[in-house]
Amino acid sequence: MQTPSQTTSMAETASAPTTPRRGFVAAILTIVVAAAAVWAAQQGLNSYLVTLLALLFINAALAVSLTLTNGLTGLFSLGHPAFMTIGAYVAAILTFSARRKGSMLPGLPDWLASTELSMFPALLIAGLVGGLVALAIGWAVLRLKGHYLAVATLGLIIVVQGLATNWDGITRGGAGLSGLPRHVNIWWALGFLVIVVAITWRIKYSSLGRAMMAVRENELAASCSGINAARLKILAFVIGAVMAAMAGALLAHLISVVTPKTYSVLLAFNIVVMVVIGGSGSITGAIVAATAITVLSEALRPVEESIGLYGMSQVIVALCLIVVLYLKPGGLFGSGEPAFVRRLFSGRKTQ
Amino acid sequence: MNQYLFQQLINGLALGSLYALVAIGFSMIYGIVRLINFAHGDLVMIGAFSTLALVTAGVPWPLILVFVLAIGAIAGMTIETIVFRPIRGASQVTGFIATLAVSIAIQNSALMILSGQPRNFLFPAFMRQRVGFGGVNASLTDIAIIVLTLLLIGGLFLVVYRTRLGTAMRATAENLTAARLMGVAVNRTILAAFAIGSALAAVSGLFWGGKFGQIDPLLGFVPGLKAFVACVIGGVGSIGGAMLGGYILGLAEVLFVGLLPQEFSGYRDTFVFLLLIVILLIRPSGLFVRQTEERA
Amino acid sequence: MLEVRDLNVYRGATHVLKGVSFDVRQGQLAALIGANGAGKSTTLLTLSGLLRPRSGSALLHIENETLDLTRMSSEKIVRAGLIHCPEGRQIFQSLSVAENLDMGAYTQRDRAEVRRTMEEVHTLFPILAERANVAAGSLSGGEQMMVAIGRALLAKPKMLLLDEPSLGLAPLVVETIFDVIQRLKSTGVTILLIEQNAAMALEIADSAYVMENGNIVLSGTGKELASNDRVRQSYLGVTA
Repeated sequence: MQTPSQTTSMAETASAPTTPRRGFVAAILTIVVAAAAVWAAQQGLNSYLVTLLALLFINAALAVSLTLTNGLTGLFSLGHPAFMTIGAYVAAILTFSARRKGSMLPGLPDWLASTELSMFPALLIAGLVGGLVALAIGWAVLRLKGHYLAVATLGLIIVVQGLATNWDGITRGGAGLSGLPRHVNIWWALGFLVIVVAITWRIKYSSLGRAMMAVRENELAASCSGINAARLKILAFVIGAVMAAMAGALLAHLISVVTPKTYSVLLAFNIVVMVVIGGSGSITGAIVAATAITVLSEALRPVEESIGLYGMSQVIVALCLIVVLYLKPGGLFGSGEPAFVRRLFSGRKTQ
Repeated sequence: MNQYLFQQLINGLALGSLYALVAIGFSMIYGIVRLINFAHGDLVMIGAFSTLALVTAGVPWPLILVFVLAIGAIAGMTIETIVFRPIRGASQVTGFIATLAVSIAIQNSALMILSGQPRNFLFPAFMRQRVGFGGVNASLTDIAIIVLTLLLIGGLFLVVYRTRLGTAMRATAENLTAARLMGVAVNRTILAAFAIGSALAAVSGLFWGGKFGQIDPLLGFVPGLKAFVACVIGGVGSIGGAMLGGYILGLAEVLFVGLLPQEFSGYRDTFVFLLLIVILLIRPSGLFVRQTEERA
Repeated sequence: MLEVRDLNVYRGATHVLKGVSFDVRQGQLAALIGANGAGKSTTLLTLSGLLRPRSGSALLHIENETLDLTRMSSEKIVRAGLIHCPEGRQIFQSLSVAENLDMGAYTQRDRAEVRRTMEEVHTLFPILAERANVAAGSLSGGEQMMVAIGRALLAKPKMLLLDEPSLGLAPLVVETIFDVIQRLKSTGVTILLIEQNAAMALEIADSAYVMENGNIVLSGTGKELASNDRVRQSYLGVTA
């Protein structure tokens, strides 16, 4: 049996959590269960699988962050890898051992060459720089719509890659920065995922989130009801970029290397696939799809290697996407969350 | 004329020809189905590898040109029939993602079949000689690319502006419903646009291999994106605009590399996409189009 | 000539035509009148094959053949001689006037015949000959309507569907257009006319149908409906 407020879909998205404490408890419980699972995984699985799990968490966080930009606000941005690259390089330069940095990166100013930060401040600065770049770029490109924005942000990836490849003194060129300190383990990845999901969830079910959805549905009408659409779009773009930059920094320190090609257009495609297959705007969908695609590509990798058909897993992912677009263009979960997830975390009483 | 300047000019025009051939098809397809076709660049790759296969099989060059046009046309029609037609009528973003998926699928299938190793690609020896004109000289390959491109574009203009099919294509691009009411078999017209556009892209792949001497399965990605930039320069949806945009882009790139000191030449693509962003901001409908239609 | 039976058409989830039936006899001019959203344009779009009905049939009797329009593609319907001149003119703005007329003759194979028809259209609307090489979008509203009708004529219609030909035109131009419609009828073309301007439509119609909410609610000759109280109140603006 349901309370009246649950009978219409409008009420579903519009009403804020009625008993926050219950949702909070559910969230804490979920985190505890996840943490226990991670702990168990660390005990029982080999290090490859644990790293894979961390990768999965970061992918899921990326997909969720793109949900905010692409799904909720309807900005079709492909720029995530650009911000990831920026974040990864910023963090890598900050955490790199000061002894080797001076000779490897002669272009660095002295104060940077002698700095050696731990992961946490480096991560924050990476996010900050990513956000500032997004602010500058967003002001320019967010006036574009639909696929114009998509191509402009795709161009941004190439611009950033070009800078990373050619600005040798700071980035060490095409070879990239390897031998980064392995500061990031699975706990960082889990923590990051939790924070990204929590922030996105709070935004989605707040007046801010509703304003974003209004902009997505009809920008003109939203503006007429007093929503500052331009500012809202930049905000969504910047939040997404901050999360992407941090994810880039985390991934670099998980695999201890970053090159200009680490975060490519292919990655932009894969994150978009996760969002589209999950359903634009659905946090649950993004997590489920990110899990499925990460696991699928990893599972296919040994097959690829054994028969020598590199690229097969990408072909399969691309074909899956086309089939989903054809059969279920709204994605698996549409733009909402499945009922049980909503009930659990928004803390509404059920009888 | 100064040899250096002449060399740069020919080089820019040859590069511009490659971009123009890709951009024209891109623009035709956008014009008729309002689809930014990301897989369009991959037809350049298909054209390049088809050429390589035909050369290896010993087919004479003039025939290769014809075969590559045909292969491009067939590939384009296949993609349109299998993937794009079923999702026609879906949102713009859905269409865009689908083309991205097709592109990724083509690139990775090519990687699977051909491996990522770049292959050498050579025009016959006589094409690599230089020909002189009163004190200056240029490579025959570049000259051939420029001349053949002009012929192909001339042929295209004849088809588009002087035939029943061309009129039907322009009519369908402008108003699909009204075209159907005139008895135009719209699906066939769209197929024709894909066939022509894709054939031109494939030929540009043949030229690409000849100009740069090496090809690999991912070579189509950047020309695809640059075709979009060329279209934006000239106004998306206009064939003449796409052609002009292609030439402007080719010349601008060569100028950029030629004028700036050596260490900046790696920033070539960075420069192109910064140019794109700047043009989109200043004149979103292109440099040669009156500012009327909203870019939505 | 046209026999529409129990047509049910949905647009998305909306049931727009709810069992529409009517007839148009050979050589006659039938008028379909009704308020906005009653389903008139939907009826025409269904007849020309742009919308598919959920059920029902629309039989077109031409010469000795009977064709079910609901099972034919739009290009086959055009080839059969049923020509739809759509609402809002829908001419090709960026094409020249001559190219627009050529598009009308898209399905015609006999070039000599096309040239003859072209001359007829030019006699009917001399302005179209003068402006042949001008982009059609730069013409005035009335001239664009002439392009639209001329384009339909070049398709050699045996039956013509006209959707709101007077919409947004100056009264004098409307007179011209209605003159042409009557002249067409006199050459033997069967016409189904949709009009907001019910008074003018009923005046020239042999038979007429009133459509409300996706149903035909009244039918009769043009004169009968013009004197029907309900029609006079609702559509002719006459208070009883």
